[in-house]
Amino acid sequence: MNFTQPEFWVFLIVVVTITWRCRTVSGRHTWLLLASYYFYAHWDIRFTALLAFSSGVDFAVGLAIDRSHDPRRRRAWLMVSVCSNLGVLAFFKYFNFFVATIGSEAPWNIILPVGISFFTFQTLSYTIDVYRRRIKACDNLRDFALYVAFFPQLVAGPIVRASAFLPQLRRVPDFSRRRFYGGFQQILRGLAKKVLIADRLAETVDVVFAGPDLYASSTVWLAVLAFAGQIYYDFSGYTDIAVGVAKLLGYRFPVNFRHPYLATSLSGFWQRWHITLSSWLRDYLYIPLGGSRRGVWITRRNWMLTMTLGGLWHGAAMTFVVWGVWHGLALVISGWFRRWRGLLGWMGTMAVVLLGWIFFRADSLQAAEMILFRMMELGGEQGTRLTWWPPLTLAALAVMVIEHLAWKTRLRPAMRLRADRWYSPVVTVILVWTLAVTAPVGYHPFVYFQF
Amino acid sequence: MRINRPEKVRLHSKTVTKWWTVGRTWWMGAAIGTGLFWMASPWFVRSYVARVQDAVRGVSVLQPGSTYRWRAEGYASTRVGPHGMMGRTSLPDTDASTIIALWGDSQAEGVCVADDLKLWSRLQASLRRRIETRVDVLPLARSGDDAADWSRQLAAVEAQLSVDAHVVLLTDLQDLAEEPPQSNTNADGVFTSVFVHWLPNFVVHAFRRVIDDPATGARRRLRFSFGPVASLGHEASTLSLASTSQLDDVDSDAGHGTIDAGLRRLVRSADRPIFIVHAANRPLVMGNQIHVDDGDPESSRTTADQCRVLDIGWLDVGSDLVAAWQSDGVMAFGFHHGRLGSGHLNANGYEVIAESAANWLASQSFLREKAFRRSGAN
Repeated sequence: MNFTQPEFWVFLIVVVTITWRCRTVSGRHTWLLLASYYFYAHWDIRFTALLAFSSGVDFAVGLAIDRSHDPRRRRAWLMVSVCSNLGVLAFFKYFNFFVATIGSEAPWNIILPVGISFFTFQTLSYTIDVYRRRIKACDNLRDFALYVAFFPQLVAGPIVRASAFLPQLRRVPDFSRRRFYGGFQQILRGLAKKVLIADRLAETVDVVFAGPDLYASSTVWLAVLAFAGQIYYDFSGYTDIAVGVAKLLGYRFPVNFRHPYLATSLSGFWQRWHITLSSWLRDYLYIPLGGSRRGVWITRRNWMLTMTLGGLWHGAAMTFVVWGVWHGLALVISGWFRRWRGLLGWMGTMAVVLLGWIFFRADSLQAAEMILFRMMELGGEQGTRLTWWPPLTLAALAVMVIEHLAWKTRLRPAMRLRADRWYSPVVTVILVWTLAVTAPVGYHPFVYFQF
Repeated sequence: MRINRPEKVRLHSKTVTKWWTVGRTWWMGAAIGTGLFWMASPWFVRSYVARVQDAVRGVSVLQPGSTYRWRAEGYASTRVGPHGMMGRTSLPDTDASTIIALWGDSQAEGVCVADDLKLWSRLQASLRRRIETRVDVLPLARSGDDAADWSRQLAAVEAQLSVDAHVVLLTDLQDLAEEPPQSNTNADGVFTSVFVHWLPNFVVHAFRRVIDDPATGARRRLRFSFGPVASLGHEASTLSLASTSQLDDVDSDAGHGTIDAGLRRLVRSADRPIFIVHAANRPLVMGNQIHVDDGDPESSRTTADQCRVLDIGWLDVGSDLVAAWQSDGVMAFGFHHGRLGSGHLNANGYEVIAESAANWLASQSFLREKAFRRSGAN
């Protein structure tokens, strides 16, 4: 079920209504668990078994680790969790990719279960945190299963840590009108980002990236900029809806984006982009590898490894690997330009990020190479190239610039649209009407659903 | 408890007052927001115009005298004239002029471009530049029409509007195929007849967007059953595949009736000469390729042969459209608001078609016959 499908809104109204009528922890959590499994089964009922398997294994492993005092046994149990989670991920997501890489034909047509990258990382973080004794193991299977399958974050994050979510399940949250209103506003904001900006930009991106050789250099540049906007507003829009839905139900999710395109350094960019994944990679990969404590070269190696694996996490394709390697290299090199701040730092960061997005979006390395050539006016005949300037794409990019600039000014509090401000209902109603007249033109899946 | 009670009451009363104030603010704000949206909506929301039954043509047309605003791939407003003519607001003097009826579907209707850039206007101007006699073109194309719809109207407009010749703009050969008779019930019809008189356009538009499935144009059907579907990431392509298969269905249905039968029916319905201008989507941008060749040359050739047998004029302007693109770099189909190289004809396309068609029509005998008749009468 997609957040922009009408079915989801019917589902949400039913779930929110019944959830707040459940007065006991047990009833509430059982209901939310059933709703979450239904949400997943709406896509494919067969893979609910995978979700249940993943939850069951990590629940049992968590208890075993928690109850054991023998370091070797604890480590062995942790390995069970790591192997089962990464094994599932490797099979469903990477098997065909690895087979193709060694030049063989894929023996099976494996369907990628939606959200698998997200829920395996969540459960992994849980067992590792229990192993590190950062949290106590959850002793209630239903609550743990709800943590893994909670529908707002199930298919595309944010990656919620057990330490942040499980404590919220200890009691029935108090109903707060303010939080409920905040959730509604965040959902509206997310829908506006997705439907009014990201989907408009996608129309240009899809066409130009399908045949970059046909278009003039300026149009290809526009498409690359448009993709930068699309991926940000698509994913942050999804996150806003997820966080908003959780708020409607009385729960809090962590922040996932903080206007990454305002970053003046690459490390700053990664502290603002997909924060829950960046922090996951930092805590469970980069730091265990040694972080920055073991000398300059080991640190650089760790950056490279972390970013490459981060790239591979996004998808089983060489384009994602190159994207990760590119960001790793850029992080290494940016270490020599630490004094570049302000406008210069921002321009350097944007250059790295934009170039990276080309590999992220392109269907193949050859296609990425073609886009780069077109941007530099190289290759092919120049004569009858199409110069295409879609006004709605330009308008969406203008909105993106204005929104980023406004966020840096004193307008930021106003953008929250507090309930007692006179302009809030005016803006809200205009947004609702705009969504209604422009929105459901077609089914545009969220970009991160494929990961 | 004693200490807390007054405080609680005060808090409660404050809260009630606050929420009352907030509620009032929201009602007023919602009204202001809706008003602002209403005022701004003509910039980006198309208009909905009521349809009326035209006594002469025998079909439903947009209300004469109204203005039809299009806000999709092309942004233009069209004035609706007598008999639902799009962009032409008056009837010509039939005695002093040679009258050509222009038929077609939305490609000939041209709501994406301004009235003076529409095909009928360009064709009329081009013909007037080429021949000495006065020529008027009546735009009788309607969105969604095909050969069956045209056939129903030919005789009536010849008799009542003194039409001397018929020109059909054809972008899809399947529009000629003989199909079971059915009236073109435009999708707008139901909504416009019910709501357009008492609801603003943006409300009607929002209502349609919410209840209609954009892929099929039919009512949305919600699915609450369990999956599987191919994958969430592929649901979009599932939809487009569905659309494609529907197109295939149309093609196979069209196979039951034939283009030949459609052409014969056209000829039977008209006393005046018929000229078909074939303008297939060329150059066509699909994925990473620009197709300049006719996608179905065999069908085009067969249709041209059939036309020759039935004494229907046939002009294929595809090569002219391609040549215009190769020389000037402008596409005949598509808009910057939509996609270049696909969709509806744009002003460039109309210009090329009008010039080619005028060159061809100027040499046709019906123009001279009318002038001869007129001079004889004088």
